[in-house]
Amino acid sequence: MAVKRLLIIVSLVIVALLAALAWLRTKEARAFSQLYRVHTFAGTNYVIQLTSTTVGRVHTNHILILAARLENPNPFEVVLQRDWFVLMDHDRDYYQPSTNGTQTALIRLPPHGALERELLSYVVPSDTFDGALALLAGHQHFVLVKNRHPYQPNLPDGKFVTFHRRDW
Amino acid sequence: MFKKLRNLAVFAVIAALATVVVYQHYFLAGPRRITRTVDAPAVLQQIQALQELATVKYTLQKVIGLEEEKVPFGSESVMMVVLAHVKAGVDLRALTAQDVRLGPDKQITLRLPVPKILDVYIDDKATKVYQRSKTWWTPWVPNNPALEQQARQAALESVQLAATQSDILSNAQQNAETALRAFLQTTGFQTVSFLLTQ
Repeated sequence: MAVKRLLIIVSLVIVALLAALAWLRTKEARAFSQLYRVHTFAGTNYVIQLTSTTVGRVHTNHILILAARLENPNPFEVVLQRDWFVLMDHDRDYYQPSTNGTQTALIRLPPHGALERELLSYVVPSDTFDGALALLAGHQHFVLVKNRHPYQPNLPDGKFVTFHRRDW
Repeated sequence: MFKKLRNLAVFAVIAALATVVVYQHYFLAGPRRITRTVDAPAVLQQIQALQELATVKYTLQKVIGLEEEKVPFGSESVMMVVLAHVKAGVDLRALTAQDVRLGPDKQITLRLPVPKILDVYIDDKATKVYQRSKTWWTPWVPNNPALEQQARQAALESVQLAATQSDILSNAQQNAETALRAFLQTTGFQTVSFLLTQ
């Protein structure tokens, strides 16, 4: 009887812990993908929402791909330059997104429309992941991409991992 | 009588001289030479008309594995073998008047724009999904229909970086110089030289 009671208690504790962990991770995911209303250098409003961060390794460098949803609440087209979306690391090193190959230099947001999945790619050294990472969105508005805990991407060449949270 | 003969002789000499001059001008002078004058703006316009000059194409095959962490638990993964093509070259539209210098004796010096990746694309016929899986203990977590698309995007970025880390850009520069040298020599330049781009 006592053993049965103990098993029930342990099970309940495990379930409670898992529920708490799930709640925490869901909360982190919501915090990561919250909406930010920002504005361009010219003062035009738009909305940015990060949806995922993908990290991978190619030869000696790492690739970071940020997926974001961009929304234009204005009745006119908003043209954003990809170069404006600068990534900043803990050492205040700045990285500009790739603007050749698959990435066009201009991002066009239709009037009252949205780009559901705009990708921003960065080539970064491995020590970039030693601390926090932030994305410059709009005019001097930083969106936190990764928290300050170091991340060691022990990934083989060609292997990518996608996160929907900041703590990785 | 003597005066008449003298006038006739003078006329004959003048006529002979005129005949010689005309004959030499039209028949002995060889092929007529056309002198073309070229100026820097005209050359610049000709080169700019070539637009994005793709001079090298690499084909790369890569194995790409993408694992997505699910919220709150679990993960989904996809593994693909991707064949992609990378084209590099120079964008000649970026050439300015300061980059073209004409010299004496049909010489021309060009400063070409920095070579760059012009296009990266996946060969769909040769690209295969090898594995797609999800953690067995999270059956309630929905599949991500965009995961393959994400993997393809990662592959494109990966291929582009791999090509950049190889010699694709220096090859593109060399090939652009060779192509432009041949092009300019057909337009009459004898010496074509290139300045190093920063």
